[in-house]
Amino acid sequence: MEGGGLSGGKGLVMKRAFLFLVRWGIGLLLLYAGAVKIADLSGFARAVEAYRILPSGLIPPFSHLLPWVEVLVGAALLSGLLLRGAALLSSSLFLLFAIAIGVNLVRGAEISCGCFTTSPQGEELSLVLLLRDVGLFLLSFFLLWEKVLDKGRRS
Amino acid sequence: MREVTRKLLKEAVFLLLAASLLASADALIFRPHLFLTEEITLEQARSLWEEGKALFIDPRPLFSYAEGHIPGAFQCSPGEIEWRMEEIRREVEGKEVVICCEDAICSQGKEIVEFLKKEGIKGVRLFKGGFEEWREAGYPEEKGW
Repeated sequence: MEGGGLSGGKGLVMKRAFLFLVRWGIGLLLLYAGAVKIADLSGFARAVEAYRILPSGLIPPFSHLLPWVEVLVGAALLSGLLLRGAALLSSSLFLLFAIAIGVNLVRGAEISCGCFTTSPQGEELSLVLLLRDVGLFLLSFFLLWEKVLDKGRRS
Repeated sequence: MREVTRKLLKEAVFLLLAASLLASADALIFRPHLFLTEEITLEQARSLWEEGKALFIDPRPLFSYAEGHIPGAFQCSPGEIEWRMEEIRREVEGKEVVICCEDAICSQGKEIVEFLKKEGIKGVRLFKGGFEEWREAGYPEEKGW
C-alpha cells in the first residue's frame, strides 16, 4: 500500500516535470519563431505566398498577425498566464501548420517551410517536417488536455 | 465542464485580440509604408506614362527587367537604392514616382517606398499590378537594359 502510494507520488512528480518541459519547450519555440518572423515580415509574407493557400489579399494581414500570435502564445506558455487559452491556440497553430505542410507535400511543392527562418533557402518541406509538426500538435494537445479538459471532467 | 470551456475560449480570444492590437500598433508606428501608401490603377499608370509625368521604378531583378519592362522604367532593387539615390533624384526632378510592384505581396516595392519617403521624396505611389498587369493589358513594353 505504502509502496503503491510512493510510486503514485513519483509518477505525479514525473508527469508534472514532463508538463513543465512541454510548456517551456513549446513556449520558447513559439517565441523564437515569432520573433524571427517579426524581424523580417516581408520575407515571411513571401514564404506564406509560396504555400498557395490564402488569397493574395489575405496574405499581408495574415503574415503580419501570425508572428504576434506566436509571440504572445509563447510568452503565455512560459509565464503560465492565460495558460489554457495559450494551450488551445498553440494546438490550433500546429494543426494549421501541419495541414498547410501536408497540402503542399501532396502538391509536390518544393518550397521553404518558413518556420524558424524566413529565408527561401531555409528548411524545405518534407515528411520529417510534417511529423515534427504533428508531434508538436500532440504535445500541445496533451498540455491542453491536462490543464483544461481533464480538470473540467473531474469537476 | 461548460464553465471550463467558456473560460478557455475567453482566454484564447483575449490572446488573439492582444496579438491583433500589437500587430496593428507595430504596423502603424514602425511600418506605415505597408498600409499608408497611395495606390494607382493600371489606367492611371498608363496615363501617367503617356504624359511622361512619372518616373516608374521597377524593383525586380535585372534578368526579369531585361525580359520586359514598362518603357523608360528605372530598374532598381531595394539593395541598390541607397547608392543610386543621386541618380534617382536627378531622374525624379519635376515628376511623380510610381513604384511597380513585383508580385502580389509587393514587399520589395514597399521597401523602396519606405526608403524614398525617408529620403524626403514626395508623391510616391504604388502600381500594385506592376509589369505583369501592364503586359496582360497588351501595353507597350521594352526589352533589355
